[in-house]
Amino acid sequence: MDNVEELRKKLIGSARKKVQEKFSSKDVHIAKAVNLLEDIDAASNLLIEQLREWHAFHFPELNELVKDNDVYLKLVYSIGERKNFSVKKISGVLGDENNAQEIASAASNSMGSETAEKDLSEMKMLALNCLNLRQEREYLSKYLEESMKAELPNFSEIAGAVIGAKILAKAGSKERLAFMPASTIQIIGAEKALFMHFRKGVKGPKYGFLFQHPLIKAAPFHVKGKLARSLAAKLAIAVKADFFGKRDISAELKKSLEERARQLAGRKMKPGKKAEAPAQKAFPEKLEIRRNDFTGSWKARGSHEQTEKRNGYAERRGGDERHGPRSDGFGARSGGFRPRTGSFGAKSGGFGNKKFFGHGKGPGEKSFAGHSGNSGGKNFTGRDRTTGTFKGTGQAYHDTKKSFPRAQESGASHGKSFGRTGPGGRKPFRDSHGFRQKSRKK
Amino acid sequence: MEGVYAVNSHLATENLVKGEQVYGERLLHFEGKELRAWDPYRSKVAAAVKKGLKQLNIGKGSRILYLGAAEGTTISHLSDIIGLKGIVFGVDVSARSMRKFVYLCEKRKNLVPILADASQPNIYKEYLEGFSIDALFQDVSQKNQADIFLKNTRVYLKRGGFGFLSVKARSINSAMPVEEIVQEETEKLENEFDILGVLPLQPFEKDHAMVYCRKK
Repeated sequence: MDNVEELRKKLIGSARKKVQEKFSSKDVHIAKAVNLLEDIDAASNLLIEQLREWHAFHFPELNELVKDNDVYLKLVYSIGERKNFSVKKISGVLGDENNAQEIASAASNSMGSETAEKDLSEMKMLALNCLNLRQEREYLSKYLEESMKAELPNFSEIAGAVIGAKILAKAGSKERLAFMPASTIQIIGAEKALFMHFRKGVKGPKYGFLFQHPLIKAAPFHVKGKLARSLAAKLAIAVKADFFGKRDISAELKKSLEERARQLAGRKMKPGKKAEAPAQKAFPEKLEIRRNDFTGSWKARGSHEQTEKRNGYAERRGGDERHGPRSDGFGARSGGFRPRTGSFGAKSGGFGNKKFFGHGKGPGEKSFAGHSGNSGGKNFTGRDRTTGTFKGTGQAYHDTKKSFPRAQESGASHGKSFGRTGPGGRKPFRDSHGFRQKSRKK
Repeated sequence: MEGVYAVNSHLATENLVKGEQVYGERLLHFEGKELRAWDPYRSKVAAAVKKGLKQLNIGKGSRILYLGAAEGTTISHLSDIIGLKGIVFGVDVSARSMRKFVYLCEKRKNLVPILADASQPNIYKEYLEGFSIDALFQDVSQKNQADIFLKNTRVYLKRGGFGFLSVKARSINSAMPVEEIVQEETEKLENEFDILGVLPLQPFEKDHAMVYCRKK
């Protein structure tokens, strides 16, 4: 029994020591700081909103005129009461005569109620606290920048301190981040979307925290994903350089990244060509039924050029430059579902095959046949309907069949119920499910 | 079931350290004993008992290895059951939760903390030498739960010893139906274990199941 007690003592000691070691690294502080930063932002926004509402009982015009939170807080804190809003006092805070005049005249002609000194002093206290909170945030972000620069100079130079710190916090530690593949860095912060992708087969995320990166923000819509991929790759290199070495390679990385951004920005919207050829060869008859790509086709229709070319668009979209040619009968698929490709099935342990194939052979196949009945170059460039589950779609198909037998005869298909009328652009007829239908008269 | 009480549909164990709560649980007084309510929503072992686990096969003096100790919620009850003659080794990787567990270990003389990765049982082999483990509990959120379980049971669990593996389906695969995952995991154990029962833990835990087995 004695040696058990001894062992216990020893292990408690060693566990304590290990806990100490673990929390003595710099990473934990960075993670805490960046989480705190977000919380402070949320909290200060909340408080300022409340203060604006409250002070607006007394002086609503100030709330309307001053949009800048910092200025607003300073005005409320240092002046507060409406009748004290003189041009001189306001410009003392603002340093700007014109606006001061406007505010002062609003103050003399205000809709606000009279408010007691006591109430106003509460508001002033709140304003002071908000100002302090904003100050604290500034210090914190400076601290974060400094410590990121010290810990991960290359990485933070490219990612930016806050985004870099967020990624680091999610990764857990410097070491784990250094061993991460670029693809993980790319989508870190988009876990929810990623698991939706695994679970329901919606399109996978293209970026997580990186979405907020200035480079990605500035990129045109259609190359955002590509650029995120490049950015993540460079980040992966940068963090490895930080962790394993001391060399400063951020300038090189940045340069090549910017070049890549320039190159991508010059790209046309729909390259398309790459995917077209194999798609036609393998499944020519399936070309009309394009994958309903929610954002993609929405965007395309919005632009003038694409509207003009709409007829040609269907052919070109036979495949998809990102996911390759459609390789299976997913005509019936709606709702942003990603075509099941081999890699998707394999990744998720083969479940995809079973589930999705079952459907493809069932109602999917049928509505698919409906599609090919209507191939005269007419195109249902459609924003698709996100109908929730896959099963739901099949059901909708069967129901519409019953309610609109004539439409079926005339070759108007139900698969098309998710599309639009032809290029003529008659107003779409909606079926009982609210899906757009071709008109019943025909 | 030795050491486990049922009071008004509450599960409870006799408190080893009188008057002390571990995680804010209720203290019940029953026939002069002080009992700690065992919350099935917080402890998977308790949930399994609620869901019909007949035997825990541990009692006074048992030696237990617990992988995935976390803050020691479940372990505190196991420690109640086995009493001062038994011993529980609690293994966990997370320093954050180990902090709380260490405090618990200092109060309860039959608990031993090990801050280590359960998927590498050789790291803590030296500490466990000379102890034959009667029961092994595992509750880790890792993809290779079954492998970790097998690795550890091969090294430490004695023949005829009992294993309690709580399968966390969502850690293994976020998309597959739970039943399939649990079945797959259970099949992995079949070579080395007699499977005595598989208990889904609804409604106490979502997407979890307790696999209860005996080493061949």
